[in-house]
Amino acid sequence: MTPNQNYTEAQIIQGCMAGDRKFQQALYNQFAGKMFSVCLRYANEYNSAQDLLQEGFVKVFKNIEKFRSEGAFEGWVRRIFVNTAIEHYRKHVNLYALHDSEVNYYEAYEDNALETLKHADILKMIQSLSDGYRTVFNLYVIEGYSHKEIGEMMNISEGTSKSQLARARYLLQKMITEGLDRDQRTSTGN
Amino acid sequence: MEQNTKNFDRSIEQMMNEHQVAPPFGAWNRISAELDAMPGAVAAGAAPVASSLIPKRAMLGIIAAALVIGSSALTGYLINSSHNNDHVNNTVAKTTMATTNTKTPVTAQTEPVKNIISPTGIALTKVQLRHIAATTPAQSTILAAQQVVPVVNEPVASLTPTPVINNENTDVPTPLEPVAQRAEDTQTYFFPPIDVNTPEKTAPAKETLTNKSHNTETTVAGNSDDDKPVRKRFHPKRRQKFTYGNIIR
Repeated sequence: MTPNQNYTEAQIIQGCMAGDRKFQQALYNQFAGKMFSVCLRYANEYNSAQDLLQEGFVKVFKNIEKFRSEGAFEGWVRRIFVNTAIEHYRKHVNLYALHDSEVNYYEAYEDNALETLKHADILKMIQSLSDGYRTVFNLYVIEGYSHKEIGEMMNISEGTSKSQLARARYLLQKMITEGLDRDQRTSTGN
Repeated sequence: MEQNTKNFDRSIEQMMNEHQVAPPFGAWNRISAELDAMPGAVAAGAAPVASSLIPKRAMLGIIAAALVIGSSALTGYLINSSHNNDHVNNTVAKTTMATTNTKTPVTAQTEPVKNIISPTGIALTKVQLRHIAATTPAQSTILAAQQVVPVVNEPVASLTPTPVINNENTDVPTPLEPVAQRAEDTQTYFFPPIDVNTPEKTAPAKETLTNKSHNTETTVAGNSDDDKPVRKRFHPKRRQKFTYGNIIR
């Protein structure tokens, strides 16, 4: 059975609230690609991202009754996936503040270096970062959270969030600049 | 340097948000299986229209409103019924008060006489008026009953009727003495008082029986009553009869 793709967002939400599997599959088809991209950024490997995708969609279907039509539905779904990823990695992440002397901008980085790279390559670089660096970088750069919000979400201080972000940025620029060797990138992750 | 950093962040963000990654094959089947395993899962293909017509919150609200209305109606009915009971009690109290009010003038008229004398010359009761505030109708009836006190050992008031002498009718013999003097000569009659408080004694019959059974003992002990106290056997009463009191003659 293939779900009808002509459903409106309101119909899909109503159907998911009623627990209709047809509408749940329609919602999955609509958001699976975007949300799996989010999961891949927060996970360090493909299988972990797959687990995050499954856990996130189950949470969406369970809590869809709590959705109030105040904001965009996609943003609400995305927030659930981000929170799921943070919960998943919070147990394993032990972040600590870095000294300012350790955080430096990679001076050899060139602005047009990213243009030569593909999305998959950048994604692999981000995945190669340690859990703490990766999570803070994703939350600040891509999701747009402030350091204060990140600190509250991950139970760390603002200084720790800033230093973690600076370190993650430094490592990414270094990887991009130096020839994109995978073994070299994974060794510089931590 | 900060500008370079901002450009770097912006380009990364743009690249990540523009691209989508196809989900792995079979991911939906695993999600569907997990949803099926959850308690309270709705069967696939169920029509959502029936449940979407009346949302859950609306149903809960309707049920809550029905409960509130029902409880309020019940409490109102109970309060109303209690008011009715009070009204009935009040009416009973009013009727009793009305009866007492109707009686009081009669008793007030009879108060100077003090003794009600029946036509046969027997003192019936001595009416005493007490003003005791009755709180409940039942208490008022009890008090009204208590106000009637039997007369104990009081002689009948002397009759002092005016002597009737018909001088015109000479055929009819008229008494030379007034009737009151005859009444004084006659003995006064004491109405047997009733002791309501003490129950009727049924013991005398039993005593006679015991005397019969222990006849020898009583005869022997007749002379020496002071020495040996009479032994009495007490038999527990199996059944206590209801009596209206003992008439003391």
